[in-house]
Amino acid sequence: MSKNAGINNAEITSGQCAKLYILFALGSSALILPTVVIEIAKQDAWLTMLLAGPINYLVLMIYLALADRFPNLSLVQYMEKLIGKWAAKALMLTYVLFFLVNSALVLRNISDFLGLSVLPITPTWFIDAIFMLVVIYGVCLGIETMARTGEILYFWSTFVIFIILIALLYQLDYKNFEPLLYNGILRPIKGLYPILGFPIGEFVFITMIFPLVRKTDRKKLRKSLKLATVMITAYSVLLTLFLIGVMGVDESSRSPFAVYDLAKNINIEEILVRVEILVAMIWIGTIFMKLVLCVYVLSVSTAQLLGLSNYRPLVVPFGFVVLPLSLIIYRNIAHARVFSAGVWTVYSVFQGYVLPLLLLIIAVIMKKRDNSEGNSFENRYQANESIGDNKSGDETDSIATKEPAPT
Amino acid sequence: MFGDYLKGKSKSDSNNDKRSVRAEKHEQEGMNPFSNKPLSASLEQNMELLKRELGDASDIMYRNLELENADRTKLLIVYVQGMVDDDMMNEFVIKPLLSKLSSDQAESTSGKFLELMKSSLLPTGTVNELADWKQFLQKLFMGYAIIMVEGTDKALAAAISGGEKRGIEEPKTEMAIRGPREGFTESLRVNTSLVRRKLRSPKVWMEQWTLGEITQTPVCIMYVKGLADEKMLEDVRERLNGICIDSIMESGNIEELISDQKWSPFPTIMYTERPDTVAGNLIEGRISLLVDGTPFALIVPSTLNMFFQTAEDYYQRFDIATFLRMLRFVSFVIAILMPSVYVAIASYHQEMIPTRLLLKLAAQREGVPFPAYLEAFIMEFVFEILREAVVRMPSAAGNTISIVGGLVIGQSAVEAGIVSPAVVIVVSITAIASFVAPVYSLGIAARLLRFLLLFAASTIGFYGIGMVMLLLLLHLSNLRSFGIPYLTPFAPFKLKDLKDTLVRAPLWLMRERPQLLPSKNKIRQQTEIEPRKEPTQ
Repeated sequence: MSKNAGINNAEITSGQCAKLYILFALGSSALILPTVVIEIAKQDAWLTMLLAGPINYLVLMIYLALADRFPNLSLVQYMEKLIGKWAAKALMLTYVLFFLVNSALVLRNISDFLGLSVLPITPTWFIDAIFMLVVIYGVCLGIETMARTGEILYFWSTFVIFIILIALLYQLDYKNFEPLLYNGILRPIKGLYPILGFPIGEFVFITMIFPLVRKTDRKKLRKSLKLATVMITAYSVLLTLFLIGVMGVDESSRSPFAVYDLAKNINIEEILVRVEILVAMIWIGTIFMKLVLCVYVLSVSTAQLLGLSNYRPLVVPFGFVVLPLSLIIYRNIAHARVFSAGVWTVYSVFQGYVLPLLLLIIAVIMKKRDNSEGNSFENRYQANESIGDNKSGDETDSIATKEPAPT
Repeated sequence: MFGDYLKGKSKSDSNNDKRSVRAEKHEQEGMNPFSNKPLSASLEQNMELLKRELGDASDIMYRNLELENADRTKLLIVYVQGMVDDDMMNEFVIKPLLSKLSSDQAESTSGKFLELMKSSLLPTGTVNELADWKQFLQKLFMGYAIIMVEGTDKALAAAISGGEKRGIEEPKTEMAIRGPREGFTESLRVNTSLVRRKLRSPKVWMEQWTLGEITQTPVCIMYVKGLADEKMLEDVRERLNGICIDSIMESGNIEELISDQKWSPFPTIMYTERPDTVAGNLIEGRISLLVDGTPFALIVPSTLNMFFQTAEDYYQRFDIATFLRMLRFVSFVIAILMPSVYVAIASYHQEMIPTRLLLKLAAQREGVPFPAYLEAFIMEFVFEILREAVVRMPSAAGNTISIVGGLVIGQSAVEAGIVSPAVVIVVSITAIASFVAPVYSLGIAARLLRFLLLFAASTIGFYGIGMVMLLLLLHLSNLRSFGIPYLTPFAPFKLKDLKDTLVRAPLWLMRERPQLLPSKNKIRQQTEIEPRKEPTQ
């Protein structure tokens, strides 16, 4: 189709990839995670967040090393090249399940958050259903649209976060950080435990996005992802600092959505009060991006598992699966705490680091490299263009009536 | 995916087939009765055929002449009255033909008389030789005078088109305080000349098309060779090729037929009435489509950003231009969001309002019989009615409507306690904000979306607004205009292009053309002109 001839925006840029990565990390975790971490690490939680940076970086290195060996294939696709067809299919299934559960959890976060803070009377399933509708629409539009949406949401959320932090600057009380490292360095390290699984283990989604990054941008990708890791660390450290500094350890480890409660403290001249709905809006935006990416990766990996030619028919059925799953995945927020701290970390670490690391070791031992193209469902425009080039403009003149200009 | 593409290709091929098949059918149905026949050598026969097939239309004039040369050559002049300039007709066609021929001219035989006329007897700018009826009819209805000679199966068309036209006036829809005051008219040639007068470069190229099987509307693609992307140009041609329709009345028809996304309230093709806007966009590497019969020219590709810009931004100082642009963005957001945010706050999130204001609002709303969302919806709807009425009514009655609307709806409704003053304020601010959009078609998107958002806000408050905004964002990210993502340079992010978006950077900083257009020639200014510094002593 000539529709998109001329411009090759078939794939996403490295910057877009990095922004998706940041949004995924900010997603639900920035809203929920600080509470859990502060509960364990108390006033040293910000150190924990700082320590999480290098771990995040190391995990990213595993993914990038794999991507170097198989630049045009997704995790699910190069598995097949590494461990054989049937073993790979079995392993793929675990990833499909992982992303299914992950999607359900993220959706549940939204309804928990909104049900508790903004819309207490509205039934949970209604909130979920509305959200899922938008997500399905987004996933069906494809990765390019998602990436562009992500860019706008990224700027918007950065802007709002900084406004909020600046508005709270004068309330920052350094006494809340004392005593520093009272129980030694061990406590902030213990606080790392939930972070390992949520969100670092979930970052494995990015291996499905790598092959979609524009080929000319691949060199920049490494740099921009490293920058993204730094940004993620900076965001989480800043948020945790403000949480502890403004609300204190006690209050922030008790509130289920600490950053939302943080914004309630904003009070500028009695005019700008209760702007927490703004925070709610940006969290809806970032959680939306996370869910869209999860459902996208879920659908794409399933389509690759089943050898389908298009992932889009899977999106709506998965929507119907994710929605009820999110309603039953845990009973209440107390249950969720236990689940996310105990169960999820083990599961997520296994899928997120252990399996990719094993694959990398196998690849290194077998000295496997592969530059072949896999079906990523997104090369439509590119294909058009390459053929569109051969088409010359001779058909144009035959039909259009060209005529000399009258004076 | 290649299959997809192949399908797409065959589709576009079948489009072309469809076009020719349709054209054939058209001829069979007798729309173009004798278009492929050659002209006859006999004047009698030609005139008879014309009169029969054109239904002896009263505005088509036939003028028989007999010359005083040796052969007593007989001529027939055919023209459409009102489409040719009468003075030119007399002065440049009939007078030279009737004047005494010089002796060597008089010797010519009738076979060569046509050549003679073409080379030395018709003092008009353009003279075309016609061989068949298709060309004949085309020229006839473009306002040419057509001269046939007895015994020759060819005819000459002399360009003396004229008739009553609207003069060049100030553009009605895009006012400017500073900048040229001329706007496009309904005549294609006048319009192209207006652009040419601004871009006097040999690199300004034009392609002439004729679209619409009955209207035969001349359409002109205008671009700067070397700046406009060839592939995009090819894309434009291909899309125009795909048009097979009976009539093109206005550039809006073309806009609707060739835009990327058919189902969207957002315009993906910009239109303008100002030659300077067209010229400015051509220089940036865009392509313009000028259509005969309308003062609105199309510009492709258009991004959302362009709908917030006016030509005036570049004539004023950059600081005020930047301020005005931001103002426009903010007004657009207000025009879309204000009523829904009011409804969401009033019905779901009262805690966001400062206490003193809340008390004031609550006091106002006391005794108002409707809930806030119904109130807002009614007022918005009434406002839309008022707006449409003012646009359609003759201007004398328009004043009455605005008085009636303003007094009755604004004041009396509040005094009667049917609506609260807050809603009236909200609706008025929204209304004024929606008029700030420099391009009317973007304002239309805002008008439609306002109601969608109002509905969402009244159902689930801010969550609904958030969801609709997300949908909107996804939709906007998905839109393309001739392959260019609609939200460029924000998404995909192009740092260099930000100089001409929310802000308008000083001209001496804008050294490069927009990155979003895939043209190779990027540099606008070679030298680095910076503001002159005070001489140091």
